[in-house]
Amino acid sequence: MNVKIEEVNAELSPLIDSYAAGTLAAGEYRQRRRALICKVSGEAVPEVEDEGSAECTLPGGMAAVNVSETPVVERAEAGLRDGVPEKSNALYWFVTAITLLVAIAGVGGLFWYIFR
Amino acid sequence: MSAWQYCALTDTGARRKHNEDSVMSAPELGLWAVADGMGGHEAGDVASGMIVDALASIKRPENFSLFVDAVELTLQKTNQALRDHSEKQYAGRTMGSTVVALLIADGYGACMWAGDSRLYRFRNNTLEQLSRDHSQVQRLVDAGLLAAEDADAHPNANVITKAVGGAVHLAVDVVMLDVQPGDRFLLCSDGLYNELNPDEIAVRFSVGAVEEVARQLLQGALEKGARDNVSVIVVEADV
Repeated sequence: MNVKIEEVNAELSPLIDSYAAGTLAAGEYRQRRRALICKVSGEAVPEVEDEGSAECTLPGGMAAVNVSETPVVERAEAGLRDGVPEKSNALYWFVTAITLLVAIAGVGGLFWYIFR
Repeated sequence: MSAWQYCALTDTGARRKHNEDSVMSAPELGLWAVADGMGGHEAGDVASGMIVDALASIKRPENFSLFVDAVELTLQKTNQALRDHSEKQYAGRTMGSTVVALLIADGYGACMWAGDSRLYRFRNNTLEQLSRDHSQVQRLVDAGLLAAEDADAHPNANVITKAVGGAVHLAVDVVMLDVQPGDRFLLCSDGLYNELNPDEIAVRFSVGAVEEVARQLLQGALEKGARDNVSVIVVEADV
């Protein structure tokens, strides 16, 4: 790595940290980054109207995640995608209907036995 | 623009049921990427797949700094798309992916990454890691609380602190790099470097063409047990 790139990377690093911490807006961050990158590429620094994305000044990092432990999503997915709740509801209504039919038939049979 | 030789391989490994890694090669753009999805079952596949699909659709601007902007904006849009998808499909549970991208122009390039997928450069028989993991262990190393050689064996070695889809705000890291004739680059997921140490990776760079190097790296990880998905892209610039 030549000196010029080392110097550019030394300036890029705190710039990214400031952006990540939310102390530097996206537009200014990108403008300064373009200037640094163009030092390496030898290109003219482009004039860009930055659209200023909504997330540009929102700080807040990600909660640490252990990438070897992700079964929770599989469970959530199984419930949502395989339609387990829908199947359970259908079974519930089927058993209820059968129970009611048996009960009605039983009451009818009882009345027939008494009043025949 | 220069010509590139490259080979991209990805494998489920020996223990996992699904391959949540995705690889992308776009030599016409001078862009390669490895994404390592997380979230379990199909969530990881979807996350890493969304990233590489989005990157593959980039139109490269003339100015290299705008190319870096385009990659960053694409990853930030994918970050939001993943969070929306997670909210709808997975009740807001963690769904994301690490990513490492190599952008190359004539004689220089950039590495952009989030998470612990890595970019190495092999030059003059020396392997150099150009990306720096976004991980708890790396923070300990940076703070001088942990020796770098003890990092891989640390109990929190798998805990990452940044990923696409991991938080509302995504700040992608960027480093610039120079490219010399004969330089070879390796993009890989943690499934490779958790099985092969830097010396074991470096020795495989001398075996021949990029296809053979990539195959030897993947085979080496599989022979060591490949506890995770393994992805490698080897790129050589003919500058």
